Amino acid sequence: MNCIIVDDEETSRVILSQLCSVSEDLVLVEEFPNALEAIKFLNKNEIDLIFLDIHMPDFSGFDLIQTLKTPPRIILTTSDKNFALAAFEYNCIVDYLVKPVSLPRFVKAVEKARSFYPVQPSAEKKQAVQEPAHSFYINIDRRLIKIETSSVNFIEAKGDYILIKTVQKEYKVHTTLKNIADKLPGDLFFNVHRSYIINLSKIIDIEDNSVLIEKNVIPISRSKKPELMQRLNLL
Amino acid sequence: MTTPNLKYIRELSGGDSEFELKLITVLKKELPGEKSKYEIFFTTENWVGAAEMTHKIKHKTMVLNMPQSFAKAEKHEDMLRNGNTELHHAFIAIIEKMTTFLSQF
Repeated sequence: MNCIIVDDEETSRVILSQLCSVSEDLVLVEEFPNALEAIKFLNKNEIDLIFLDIHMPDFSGFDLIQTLKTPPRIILTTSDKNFALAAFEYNCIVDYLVKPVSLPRFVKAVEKARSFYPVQPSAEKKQAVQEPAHSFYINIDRRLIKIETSSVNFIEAKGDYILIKTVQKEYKVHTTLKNIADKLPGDLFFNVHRSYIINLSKIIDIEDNSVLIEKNVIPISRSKKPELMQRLNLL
Repeated sequence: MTTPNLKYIRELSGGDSEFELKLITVLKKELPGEKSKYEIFFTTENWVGAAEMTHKIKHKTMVLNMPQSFAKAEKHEDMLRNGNTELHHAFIAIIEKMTTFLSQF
């Protein structure tokens, strides 16, 4: 199994790294002093196991888990015993190690991770997991910024990036319209054109083949218009 | 207050003295910085910040095998989150003891 360590305390990283080195078939790939660097790495690399500190400034271990679409197996590490209950909320969490970690306890946790397959969520939970979130995070200059979906007016594709126009601000993000569409609630957002996703609740008016949102005129694809009209609450 | 010692570090190292030295060096490097941050937060009455630093330092008490000091630090962390500074001096004494112990290496 390959693994990474995410912990803002160097002492903890040195201890966990030593424990990894004595564990058979456990390959420590990388260590990270904060969650944001780890997320960037996880977006590009496949990892079997994360040793994850809960208590980190700005972005906690739980925040990290929530940003991952398909999190790998995770062993939480913390000096607090109080987070154990919260840990049971996540299917990906294999074990919970209280610092400082002893070798026998570490070995036991790794054994659990080795034999661990995420429990398939029940039908009810599965539905909850698949429900679109009311917010999503975007990565801007190494900061993860939370965007409330209800604040988004529309999203425009511009080459290899997108512009997210919210009530307050405009954000430029390197991703595709398809990726962002997966994060948005389908009942509220509509892909009105190959370059635009609009928030239906923000439409001021529709004229011919365009919609007006605030002061922005957004084109409607001919093929999309019938579906758009169906989605509106017409008198 | 328990006396700091290398029991945990030696158990972890399995006799690897290079690792022991590496860990002690990191402890010696991290602890003063965390103490300074703690003091700044404490002086500016940023109790949440001071509690966060206490949280980091309390882990080090256990690395130096000081369970009683860990319990005191844990209580101090909880009390700080409620703006109670009663254990501040006791906590500083714990840090001093750790610093003195580490300075011999």
